[in-house]
Amino acid sequence: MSYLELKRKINSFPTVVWVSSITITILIAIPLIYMTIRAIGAGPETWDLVFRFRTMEIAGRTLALAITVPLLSLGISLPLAWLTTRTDLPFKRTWSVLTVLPLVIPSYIFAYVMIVALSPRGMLQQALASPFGIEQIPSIYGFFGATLSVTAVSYPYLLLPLQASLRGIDPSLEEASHSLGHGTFSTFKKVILPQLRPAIASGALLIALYSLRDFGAVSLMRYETFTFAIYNQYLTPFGGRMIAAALSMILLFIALGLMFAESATRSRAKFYVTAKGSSRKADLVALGRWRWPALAFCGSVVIIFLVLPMYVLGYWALRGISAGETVQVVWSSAVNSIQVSMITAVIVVLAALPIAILTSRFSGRLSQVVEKFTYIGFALPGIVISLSIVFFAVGTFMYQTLGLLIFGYLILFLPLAMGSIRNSLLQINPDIEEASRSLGRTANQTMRSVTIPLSKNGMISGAALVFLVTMKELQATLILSPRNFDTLATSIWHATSEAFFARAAVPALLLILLSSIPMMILLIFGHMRENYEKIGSSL
Amino acid sequence: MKRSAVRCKNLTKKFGRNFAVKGVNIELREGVILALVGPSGCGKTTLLRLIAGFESPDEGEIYIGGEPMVDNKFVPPEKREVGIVFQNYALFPHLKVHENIAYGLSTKKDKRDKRVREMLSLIGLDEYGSKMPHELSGGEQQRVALARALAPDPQMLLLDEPFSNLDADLRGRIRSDVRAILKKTDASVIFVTHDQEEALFMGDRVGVMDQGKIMQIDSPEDIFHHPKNPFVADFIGIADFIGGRIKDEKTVDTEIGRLSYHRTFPSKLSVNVMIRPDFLDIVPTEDGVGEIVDRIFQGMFYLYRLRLPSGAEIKAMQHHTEKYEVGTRVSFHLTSDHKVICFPKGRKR
Repeated sequence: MSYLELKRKINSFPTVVWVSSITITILIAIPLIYMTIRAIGAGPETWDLVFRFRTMEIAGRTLALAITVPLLSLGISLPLAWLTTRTDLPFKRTWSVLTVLPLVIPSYIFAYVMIVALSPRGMLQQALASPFGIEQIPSIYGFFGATLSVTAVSYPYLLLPLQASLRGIDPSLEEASHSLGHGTFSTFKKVILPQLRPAIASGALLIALYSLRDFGAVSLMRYETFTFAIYNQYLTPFGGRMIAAALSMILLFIALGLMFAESATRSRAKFYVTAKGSSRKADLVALGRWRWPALAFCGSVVIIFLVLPMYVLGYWALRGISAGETVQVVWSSAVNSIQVSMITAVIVVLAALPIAILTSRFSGRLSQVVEKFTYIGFALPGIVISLSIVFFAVGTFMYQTLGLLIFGYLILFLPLAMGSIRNSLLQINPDIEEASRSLGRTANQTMRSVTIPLSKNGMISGAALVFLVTMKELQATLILSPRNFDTLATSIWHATSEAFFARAAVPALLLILLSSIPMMILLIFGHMRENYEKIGSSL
Repeated sequence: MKRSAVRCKNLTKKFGRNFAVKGVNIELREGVILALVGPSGCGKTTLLRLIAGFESPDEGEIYIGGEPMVDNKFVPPEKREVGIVFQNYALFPHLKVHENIAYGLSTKKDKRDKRVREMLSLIGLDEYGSKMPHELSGGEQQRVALARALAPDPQMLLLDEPFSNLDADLRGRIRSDVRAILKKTDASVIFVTHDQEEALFMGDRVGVMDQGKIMQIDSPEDIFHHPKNPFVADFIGIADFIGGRIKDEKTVDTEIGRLSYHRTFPSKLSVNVMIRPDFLDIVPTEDGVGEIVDRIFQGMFYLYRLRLPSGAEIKAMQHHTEKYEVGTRVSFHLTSDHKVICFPKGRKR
């Protein structure tokens, strides 16, 4: 790009947008670059140590989790998605809401529930003890418990895209298949399933990435994957932090590999969208007698992943309160959670706004680089990011301050806020802005009077999203928060890992309750976004 | 006489309280192309989907190749041997062109490959077998969809607005290609369109539909020149109506003069007389009955809009050398010995 071209392009753009975008990008890139340099420069001794360390074991366990969880999620999501979109299953709307709700439950709360319910001396054993005299049931700790907990909170990431793809398939494809002599089953296998392949591939990779990054469930289930091992090493004095950094680098590369695989499947998936403008709804498959097993399947998913956890939490909360657990502690950590989440939501949305504007309205080298960097938080496990911030800040005035914690949240959640603001901007035809320019407004005025007002919905849902995930965040909070600063998430985790089960139940319930509020906001504004779309297409 | 390919008897389909298709009777002989035309929402696509088996009728019977489809038990689409070309082609995006064409073939591999090659050469895309659908142009996708539907040698073929997604300049060429392919395979076809010009071009027979009913089925020429009711007259081609009174069994009096007409009506009957723009010549006359209110240039022709003393308007097409100004008074001459069509007044359909 020549100097003049660059100047022209930048001139056509509000200065404040690209200056703040670049500043934020540099800020979030620094800690990671710093840690990479330190880890590489750590010298051969550290790397020797890493290879003598139980690294292969940890890698094996991580891999086992990252393969099993997506497969299990697919087994749950594919039938659910098909039943709730393409059949005459009774109460379809209700099922599709109820089966997505486990998204509100963080993995560590699910792990906590499983431990108190199913551990060798847990609720199930107690219930079986008196009638059957069963002294002990097989241990829930380890691979089984970790797999189930992570699956519980991540299968909706496959369910949602599968439902969307199933709704999006052009019904005339199925009709074409029927008219060419293929029945329902053969059509599903030969026409529908291949169409779902991109959604399955990218959803499964995404879930694999989540399993790789999960810390809460694996740590409570004492299943040492990379994240848990890194945390343990981080707490180990004398050289532990160097091993933690080195392990982080390995995890980072695995995560990046998965990210690339995921984005490759997504770009290939573009070819699959060929049909244009068939607004007709597909005919629903009549289940007939199969309705009953189908209802039983949906019911058991909801019972296992939603009803039972809530029941167990309620039971233990009552037990805790009657045993005289102090509500005082819960109160202060709840206030901490809400305050820090609100501040974070505002800061992250403000930081995301210029970047979202830049990347959705300006397609140049600069905008591409900025976009790639902001996805760091999406690609990398929270533990790696937190550790890199510690490395960078330790010994300075920033170490163990609230500001540093919020900075960590910013890196982690920037892509989320950016995504929702970008979505709302991409739905607006850029012609509107050009119209404003042609009516005599400058770039800055246009941004203030057109672009930002139009992205308001995106900002609201972005803020709700960031609030939600900040409330639930565990690993960065454990590592970065000031001394004696407990949020709901960390107090649940501490109580559970120290086996004070009754103490964890009240904050867990409260956390789920508080997370439901932004969830509602998201649902409401999600609808409004659809309306915007309608207005846009009728113009 | 050839065998019947499809027969619909008193076919009726309601959506909620609205009739989409109402008492339709159609019989199509083998090897014939029937073009169904009508305004959007007239029920033509529903009729097609009823024949294909994607909808089940509320009343009436459907026979394909003489076999009942909805008699005692409903025959599902996959058992009907009816090929369909969809408006958006509905090519399977994950399958190559040759796999798309082979999709409906259940024969052995060598036979299947031979059939696919036959079909590819029929549509003139011999070299395209291993391409993906998204690599083809709209016209090519269209032909592949046609080959896929024809490959299993169906009892009949249904085409649902197959040209509406093509550019106007491409449409004309593809249209004649498709008609040639259909005629070569001697397929029995029902073709649905909202474009009357397309219907007249494609159909051996043309059926005009409105509000779920078949208004008329005839040869393209008869549909154009001998419409059975004002709706057909108005929908096919440009038509204006002026009032008239039957003089005797040959002639009818109108404000533009005495015209000869088809059929016979009792004398003194009030009628509406259909006037097509190419029926009339206009001649500037100082005390002519008509006045030019608008002149539209159409290249080879001028289309004149003329006002009559009664306030009615009619159109007349004149060669581009006949250029008159707006406001000119004209008199009318019927071209050659053309006979006009009259509809008794008060009968809309």
